[in-house]
Amino acid sequence: MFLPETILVVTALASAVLGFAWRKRPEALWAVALVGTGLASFITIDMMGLGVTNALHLSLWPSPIGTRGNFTLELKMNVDAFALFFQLMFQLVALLVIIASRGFIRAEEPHQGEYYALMLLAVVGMMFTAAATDLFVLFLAFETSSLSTFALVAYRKRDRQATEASAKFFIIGAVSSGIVLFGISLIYGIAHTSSIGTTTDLILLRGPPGLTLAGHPEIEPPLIIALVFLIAGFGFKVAVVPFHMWAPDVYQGSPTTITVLLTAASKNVGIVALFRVFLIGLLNVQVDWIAALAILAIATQTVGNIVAIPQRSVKRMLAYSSIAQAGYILIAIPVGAVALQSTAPGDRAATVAIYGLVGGMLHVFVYAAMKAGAFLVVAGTESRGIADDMEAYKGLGRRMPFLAFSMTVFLLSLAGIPPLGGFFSKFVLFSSAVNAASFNQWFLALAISGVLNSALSLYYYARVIWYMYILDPEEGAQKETVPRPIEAAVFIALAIVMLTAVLAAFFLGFLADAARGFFGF
Amino acid sequence: MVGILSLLWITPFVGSLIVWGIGTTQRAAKWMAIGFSLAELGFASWLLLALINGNWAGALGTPTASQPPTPGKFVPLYYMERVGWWTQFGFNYVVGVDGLSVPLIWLTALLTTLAVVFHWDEEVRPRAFFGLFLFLEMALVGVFLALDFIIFAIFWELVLLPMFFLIGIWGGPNRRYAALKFLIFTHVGFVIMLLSIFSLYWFYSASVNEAVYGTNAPTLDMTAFLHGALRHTSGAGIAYITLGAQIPVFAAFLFAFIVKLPSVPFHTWLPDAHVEAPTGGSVLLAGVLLKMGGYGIFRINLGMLPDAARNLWWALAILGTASMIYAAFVCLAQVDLKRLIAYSSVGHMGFVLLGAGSLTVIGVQGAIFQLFNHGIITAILFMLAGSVKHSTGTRDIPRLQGLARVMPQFSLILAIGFFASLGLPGLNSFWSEFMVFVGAYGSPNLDMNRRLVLIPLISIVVTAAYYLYTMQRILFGDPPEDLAKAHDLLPWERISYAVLVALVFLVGFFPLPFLGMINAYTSGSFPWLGGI
Repeated sequence: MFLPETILVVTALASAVLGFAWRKRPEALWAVALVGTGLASFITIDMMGLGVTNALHLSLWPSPIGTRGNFTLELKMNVDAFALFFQLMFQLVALLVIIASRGFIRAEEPHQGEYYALMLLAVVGMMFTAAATDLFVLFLAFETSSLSTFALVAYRKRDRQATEASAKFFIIGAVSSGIVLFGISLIYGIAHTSSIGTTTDLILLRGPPGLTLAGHPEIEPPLIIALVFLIAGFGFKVAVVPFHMWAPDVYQGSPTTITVLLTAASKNVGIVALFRVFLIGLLNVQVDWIAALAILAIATQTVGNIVAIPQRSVKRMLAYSSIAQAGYILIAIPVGAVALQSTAPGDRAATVAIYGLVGGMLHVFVYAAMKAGAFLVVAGTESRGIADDMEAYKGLGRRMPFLAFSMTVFLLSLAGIPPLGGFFSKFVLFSSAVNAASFNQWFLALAISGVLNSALSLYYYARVIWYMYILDPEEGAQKETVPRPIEAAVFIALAIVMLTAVLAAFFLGFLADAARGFFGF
Repeated sequence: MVGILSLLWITPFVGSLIVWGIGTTQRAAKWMAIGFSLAELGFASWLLLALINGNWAGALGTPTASQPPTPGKFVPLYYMERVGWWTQFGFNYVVGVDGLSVPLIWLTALLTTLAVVFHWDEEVRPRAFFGLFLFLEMALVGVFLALDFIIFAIFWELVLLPMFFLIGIWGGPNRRYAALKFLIFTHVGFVIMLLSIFSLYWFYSASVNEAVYGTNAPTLDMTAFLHGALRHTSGAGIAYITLGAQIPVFAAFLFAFIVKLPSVPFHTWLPDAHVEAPTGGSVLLAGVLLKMGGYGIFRINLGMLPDAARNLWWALAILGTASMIYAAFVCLAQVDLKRLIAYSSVGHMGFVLLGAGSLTVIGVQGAIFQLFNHGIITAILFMLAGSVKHSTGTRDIPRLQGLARVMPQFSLILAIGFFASLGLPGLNSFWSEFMVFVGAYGSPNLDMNRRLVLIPLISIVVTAAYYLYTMQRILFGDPPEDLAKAHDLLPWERISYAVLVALVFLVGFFPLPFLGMINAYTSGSFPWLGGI
């Protein structure tokens, strides 16, 4: 069950140690990291139900996992289909980043062993977060990933922008961790448990055995404070408006491969934590937070998109656009909550909640692919000395045809243009908000905000496409070759984004089961 | 089952990839483009003949492939193909054609072919240029084929991209503004449409699906709604979406369609886009892209939401009348020939709205016929604007004079195009405009106020006035010095004009085959329309 994590930890340690021995051979370190991550991802996919080991009559791990990954009692962790899905996503992002690093990190740069080790440890932290069923385990896993990423941002320690970004990221991260921890301690004080598992006797504030708000009006004031702290703390991680100020600076300052890790994986750690904490743990007290999260979702989308419009730096523009995308994903949480709390007959409520969560998961996955892809394109252009200023992208369609084409696809997908991945995930996500409007008509606002924001975002995405294809390159600019590894990573992301419509048809059953298992239906 | 209908969009799609991928020289690109567009035209012509004359239909398979299990009337969807896709969610691949979509598909195939021919001497990035044309053709044909909302939405949105690039790369001096404006306007229309698709999907599709196909699951299958609405209106007594629920959905769809059509007050993107677009882009933009709006109104607003249509007919009629009058007067003041033609398109699309709003058989038939006729005529007019720019270097009406002497062939085509556009009897658009007015006059909705039909009639007079006035200024008088060495039509341009002018006369003299096809559609789909 924890085999992928074990493999990653071993690989990370090996990479750190071998880093000293193979200082002159970074490609060997790269290969070790790649093989380790690839193996771990394969095991995860197999546990999700690919069934290769079953076909070979080996029973090395359960496939599909079902409830056999449930260690809520012993380890406060539950490796269910939902967790596996997120773990796979984190590992895929790591895989893309590692592949691209070969082309992005120059061979003579020092400390490459630590670079891969920290990255893999960050991924392990993310994977544990997805599986955690206890607030404290969740917090610890969360911190594991955060601490590794703080150091990674400053990997190029002579780069002033990177060290500044790292300092900013560290301060914000430390403060938000403190806030989350304070929220958790309040919750623990109120409920005498920190479990957010789905086994009935441990569920906090849910159902008869637990503590319900209705029976204990005196817990409301501290609970509201705790909710505010939790939303703010996780909000910092996800870069939800108004806690988003750090994101553009950090994303712009980091080495671009690390930006990929931050925006495509690290942000989604916050999302998965929000899913676990709010949709399972705090479901019964949602009267207090459902409107707050809905409003935050709308504010995040709108602010992210509006501020993205005047940006001249492609990296900053993408940073703001990823803030907006997080706002779309947040829609899934209030939708699921309002459905589960409704008095509608169980079937209907379950349908809406499952559909909403499937939309959220689908968008998380597609978002990771398209955002990683877009930043990898930026990494590719940077590796050939093209600044991330929009002016420098003039005529990119002729200078780097493949990267420019991929960038176009990623941007259109972010804007939700069919038949790319972003269209389908947004389709499911927004339509789930329309569906939830049958419980509370205000939810229509979530859908309207989502589609109008998508329309708005097309403007600034189209402008980049404009620069790349329609304007002619500067005098003297010539066709450039991009490092192969970066092209390979971009190609993988491109394939995921372009083939979502087909691939998702096979995955839908799995996603629906994962969501069903997540809610415990 | 994937067959000829899917080939209709797969052919240009494959063509666009091949042209873009291996059409490295201008020569190769244009020959491959013409090859694929002719193949597409072949398929489309076969389909057209099959719908006009049943003898040709044998090879296409049985009409109405999937009939609802419960008895009662059904939409005469002649040919359908259906493949399961995201079945858990009820998203499927469904395509089908009938008398509404086939003329438009044929028009798309024809105009794409002619646009490629017209741009025979395109030198700027030819492989991207011809590749985008085929891609655009794929998306347009897809819109007319789609019978599942998600497929419809995909193709609907895909139309934007090639058009954006065509305007952006090969456009005029102000192309940046025009391309972005086009993109944003129509995209906003699209997302509003998505909202109403969501609500149809979640709130109404399960019960409609239950009533029509007997499965109580949400679906995006348009045929379920078409069948449901038809049986609801033809008195088969099945429950359908209530009137109160139909009205907001109707309004949201209508918004998307009148932005595309376009109708006053959402027409402002059109003149900009046209003035900046390359000629072939304009031809497809006015000839087919605008028709998507009209198609949507008949397929969805009238076909699926008949109760709302019967209550909101006045909105269609008022929007149509406003477009006709406004565009006619604006045309009087234009100095750019292409802008004038662009505005005249807005006016002619007003006929479509008025005909749909009349809710009479003849009015609706006239409006559908108008979609087809306007596509042919406006293609001629935009090509003329391209030719005159190519030859004299300007489109400013005040700077053009006496072209009848310098460019006699051009002048002849111009006269035919203008007369056809203003509705001269015997030419094709006369029939459709005449039918729309007869329908509007006979509309049961108007009852005591038939005099109101005089208002849109004003536009006929003004339209004739601006066309004649323009013709007088451009064609007659003595050519100024700088126009003396203007060349007349180029050989490949002559081919395009010959085909289109022949169609203007052919359809003008023999409208019945086309009307028969449209009649089969309207009588099967709208038995509830008023008399006349």
